[in-house]
Amino acid sequence: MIIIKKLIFTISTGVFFFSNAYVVQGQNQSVTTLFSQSQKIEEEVDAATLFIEANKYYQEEKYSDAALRYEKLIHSKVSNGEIYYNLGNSYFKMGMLGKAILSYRLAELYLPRDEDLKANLRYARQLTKDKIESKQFLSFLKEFCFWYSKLSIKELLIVFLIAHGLFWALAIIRIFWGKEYQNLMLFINLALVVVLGCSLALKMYNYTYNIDGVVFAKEITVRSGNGFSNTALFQLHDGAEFKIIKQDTNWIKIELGDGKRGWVESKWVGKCQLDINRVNK
Amino acid sequence: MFRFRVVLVSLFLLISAENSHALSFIAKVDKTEATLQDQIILTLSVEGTQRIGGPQLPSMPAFDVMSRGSSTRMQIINGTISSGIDYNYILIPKKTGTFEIGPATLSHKGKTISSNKITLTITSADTKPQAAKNLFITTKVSNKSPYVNEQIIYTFRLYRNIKIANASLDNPSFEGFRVESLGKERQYETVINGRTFLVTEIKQALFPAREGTLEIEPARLQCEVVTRKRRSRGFFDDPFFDDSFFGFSSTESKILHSNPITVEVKPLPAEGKTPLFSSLVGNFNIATHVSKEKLEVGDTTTLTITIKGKGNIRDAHSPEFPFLDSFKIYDDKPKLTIQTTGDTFGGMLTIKKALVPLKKGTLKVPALTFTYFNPERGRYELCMSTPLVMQVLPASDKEKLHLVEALGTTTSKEEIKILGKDILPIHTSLSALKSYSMNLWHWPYLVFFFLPIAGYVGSILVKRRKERWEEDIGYVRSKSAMRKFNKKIAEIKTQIKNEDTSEFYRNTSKTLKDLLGDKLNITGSALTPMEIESQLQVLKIKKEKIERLNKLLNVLESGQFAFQRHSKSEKEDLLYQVKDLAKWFDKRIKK
Repeated sequence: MIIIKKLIFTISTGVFFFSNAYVVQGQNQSVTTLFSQSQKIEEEVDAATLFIEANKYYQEEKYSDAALRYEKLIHSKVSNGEIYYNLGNSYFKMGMLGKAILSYRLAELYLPRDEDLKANLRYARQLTKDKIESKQFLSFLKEFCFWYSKLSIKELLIVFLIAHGLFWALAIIRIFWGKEYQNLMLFINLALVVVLGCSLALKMYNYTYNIDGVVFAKEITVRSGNGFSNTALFQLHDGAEFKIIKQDTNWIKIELGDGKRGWVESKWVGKCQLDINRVNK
Repeated sequence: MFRFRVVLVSLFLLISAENSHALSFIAKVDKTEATLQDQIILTLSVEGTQRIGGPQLPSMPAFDVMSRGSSTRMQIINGTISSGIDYNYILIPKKTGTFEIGPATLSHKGKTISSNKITLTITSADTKPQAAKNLFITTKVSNKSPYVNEQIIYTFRLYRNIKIANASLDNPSFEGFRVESLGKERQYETVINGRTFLVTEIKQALFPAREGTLEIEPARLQCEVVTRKRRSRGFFDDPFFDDSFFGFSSTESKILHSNPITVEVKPLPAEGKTPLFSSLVGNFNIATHVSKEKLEVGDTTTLTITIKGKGNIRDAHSPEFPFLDSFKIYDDKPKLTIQTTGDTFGGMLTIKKALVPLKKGTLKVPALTFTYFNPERGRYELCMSTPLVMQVLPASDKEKLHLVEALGTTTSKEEIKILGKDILPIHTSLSALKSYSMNLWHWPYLVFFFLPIAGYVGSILVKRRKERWEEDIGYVRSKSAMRKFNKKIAEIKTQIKNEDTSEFYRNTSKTLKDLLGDKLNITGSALTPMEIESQLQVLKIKKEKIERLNKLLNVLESGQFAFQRHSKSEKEDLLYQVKDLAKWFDKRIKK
């Protein structure tokens, strides 16, 4: 029974991997539909015990045990911001800044407005060794386009769909009961749909192609090319964040916030992307 | 004309002079015998050309060489023109002895020209007795065999009874010593052998940092001696103008050296050295003092510890302070004051501590002790302060009350102090188990995306249909024709079933004609088969279908008027044919 389940899980996730640009852990509704209701309940109970156990270990300051269980939860069905947040806390307490920051970043994708999360992420970033000056000329724009940063990608999609639906509804009303003032309303709504649509498209693009990375190792050397024979350019420490520009089999090309570029070994880098393969590291 | 010729000739000569005469290169000095205090001027003169690179000087390890630039000259003597250039150097002797200088070399047009050699004899400056000289320096130390860290006084004196200017003193580096200044230089007059000298005295305190033989290098003084030139008597023969400022006197550069001094530094004796030894060497004492001897519990009194004396006071530190459980002690930063009294270096270290008694009664601060080395007596000596006694009364409530009142009325707000930093705790609510999918290509989203668009398109179609419905009767008739027809046929069918066949032919014929009428937007019931045929031919309908229609209509017409009766099944068959044909026409004729 378990083997079949696993098999179906792998197939279904594989299918999702190929069919979707957004691969999400525990994305396997097809599995649940194939099994009986009792099976589903049983799994939920399992998840709950795992979660409670993990919380208990955390309270007892056995952080590595707690982290293991949170990882397990993420591996199974449950994937949401809270679990990633708790996982981040566990890694933080273990002193693994890089993993903590990565977990917080992933949690941020789910919970962009969570103040606890923000505070912890800020603190974790303070403790990192590398001071990277980032070009902050877009920060004002970020504040202004609050819907971009304060909404998760799914919330943005839903808001967009609502505006979109409203627009067409207004358009339909206008067909049958056309009034002058409706044109203005329709125009405003159209502008809203366009802005939200562009934001959504940009967010989806960033989400898919502009992937951030975090250093996991105590210290890694950034080189000028994808091999050990290349010149060492500079060093990064646990928790340093950067953008991933290009990915080879074992090497990753990165760019820091201040524009420095180089190659690092991919095994020391955590990718800030909701992806099944990530947790295997 | 003649003059012009002379100029031409001399110009020609000037040009040819450089070619006709061979170059000569001569080295000259202003004196061949000198002392260590003198300077020698070396001139390298080139005859025969002015256009030449600088000469190459020979190596002169016994001298310091300074360049003083070059000068060019040209002479016309008895029609012979000679031009040349002089390079000037100043040589400062560094040691005594006889030295050969040269030859200096000069490269011109690929050839190397050498100068002549010069022999210089340098004698020690001290050949003359000091008292006989007009200018000399002396150095001395107060003690040539001090202990480590014992202060010795280094005295530099400049004696002069002539005018000097631009004096600059190079102090030796005092390697192995710590140097402390003993104030500003002092000037006084003294008489040596009946001659009055002006003396400039500089004193410094030296502290040997290690034991063994230390050498103090000679001090070096560079100055310019002013010698008056009595060239002219007259208007400017006035003491006021007898000054280097007005350029009526010339100066001569001199360098004076003192003798090196050797100091034998003795180690501090091991005998009598205790752990209490404070590394102070000299003569010291300690004193303690409290600001208040009578106070209440919780009150503050200041304990002042003063270590004062002559010697290496910079090495002084607070004596070991015993642990006192009856006081809370707050340390202050020690303060060092340097006091140089005349010829000795010393000072005072002040250490302040705030004492807060924790209990009432008679509290004691015990005596503080340390030892130092006294070089005059050659032994270690103990230094001890007097113990202090304080009367501590119980804390009075009145003042406390006052304190509370003061606190109560205060309006100033304190800044929040960050005591520590940590992450915020985990989320433990079970709601965290709800999976939150981030998949955007979920079908409901796509449905919600396309549904409004589909709705809009549908609405447009509905609206357009409604508009035609309202405007075009023909269209409406054509669209509703088949519906009407079907309704009628259904009625006829029930009539057949009920054996009520009286009106069968008429009704069927009318129904068919109505359908065609509706389709063609004409009044159908009054149509003759001929009219129908012509109308249908316009629409280019197949002939066989028209014939079939005619045939059917004829059967129905004749049925109405003739006495031809069909059976029930025949009627149903007829009705079926009508229906079939009507369907075909409905499809074929669209408006």
